[in-house]
Amino acid sequence: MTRGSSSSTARIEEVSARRGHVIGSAATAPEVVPGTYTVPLSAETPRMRPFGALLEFPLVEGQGVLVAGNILEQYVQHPAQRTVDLATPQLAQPFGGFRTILFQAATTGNVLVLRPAVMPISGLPALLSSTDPELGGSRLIRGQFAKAAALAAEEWFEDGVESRFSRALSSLLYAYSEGAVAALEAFVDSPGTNVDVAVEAAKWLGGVDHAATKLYRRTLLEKMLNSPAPRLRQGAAAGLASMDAPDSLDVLRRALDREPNRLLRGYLQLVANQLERTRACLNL
Amino acid sequence: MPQFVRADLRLDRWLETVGRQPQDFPPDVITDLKTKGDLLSVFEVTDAVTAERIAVAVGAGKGRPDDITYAVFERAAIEALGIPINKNEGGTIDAVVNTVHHDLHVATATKLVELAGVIASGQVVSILKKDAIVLLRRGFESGQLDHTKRPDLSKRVNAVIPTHHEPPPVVEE
Repeated sequence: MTRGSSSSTARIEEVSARRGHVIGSAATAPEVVPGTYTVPLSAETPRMRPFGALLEFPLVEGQGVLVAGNILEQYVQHPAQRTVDLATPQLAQPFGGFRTILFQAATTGNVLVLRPAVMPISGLPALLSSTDPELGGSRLIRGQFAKAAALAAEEWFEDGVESRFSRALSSLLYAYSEGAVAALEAFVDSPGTNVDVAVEAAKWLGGVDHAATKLYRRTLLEKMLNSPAPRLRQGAAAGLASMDAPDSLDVLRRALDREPNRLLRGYLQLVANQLERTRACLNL
Repeated sequence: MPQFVRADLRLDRWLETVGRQPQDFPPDVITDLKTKGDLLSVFEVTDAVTAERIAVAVGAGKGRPDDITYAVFERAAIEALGIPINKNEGGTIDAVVNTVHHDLHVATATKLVELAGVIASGQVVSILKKDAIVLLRRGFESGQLDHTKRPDLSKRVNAVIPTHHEPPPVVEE
């Protein structure tokens, strides 16, 4: 996003790297200055999300008018390009390495979540190591995640029932993208993590609809198949079944070969069978 | 041999029952058996009602399609534990499944642990979410599942509900 007509995403951080303040928090954040901006959108740009889902995050007051360029509402498969007037830009995620800007769209009541240019996931140096600040693994996001996880420990999870925890995770994901997945990864890796909550998180990882983090989420689920906890291995397999990505088949087969738990072996076999059928369909 | 089905299990909670005595089961196994009023809901498998149909009927009571896990175990094992069995109407959206519903009266925590042992030693079966969607769709479309009671779920699984039944064609001699 740039002021004027230029379209360098790198300018987002320059434009945004001004002083600001966060409502309800002592943290500092960049501020969008008044002006007209052109938003360069690409396949990396998340689609528009309902505003309400993000309200729990600290928003930064902003000023000015944003005139968006091409809005890709349904990723690149549905390039519904149109110009939308956006008013009252609101900034979120006031932690180091500013990652996300929320703009309330006056015409639609939705929020467009924009991010600065994001490195392709394969190029991330700290993949599966959530301490890299480039992933947004800041204290703030970890704090938000820890809060959600603490509440989740009081919640009873059932198959077929959307949990408050999974809704909170989705909100974190749409605000922080890779940063939210990195925080989840750190949570799962932590000793003493509540396994019931971790299993719910694993299932959510596979079921959530968020193209920008799909590879990261899949890779994390594949890694979780190696967990010493059988329950977490099952949650990971359930997540991979939800993703239904045949690319995970080899990893899953290896997990199946070494799985000592009879019940879990049966489940892994079901998932492998499903992925094989999916691959066969895709190859038709 | 008569068999019961306990549906609405969460598979991961039962994984660590393998090779253990019931008293050594992880506590989450016991809490997965959600008794209410000391009653535990089960269904009896019959020639007309398969274990899978029962599990799908129970799964249809949830907000959205997901994995469905159920256990099939011997009725005789419950009787051997001395747990009273009361046949009554079930509350699923499959009217036929409701006719094979029973409540087990689990009087003590010890009995619940023993019951968990019976369930865990039975056959624990999972239906993956993708297959569950197909089974739910078929259930709604065939009329086994009452789509009017769960229109949201019926829509979610893309069930195509016939708006009316055509009378059979009249064949003239």
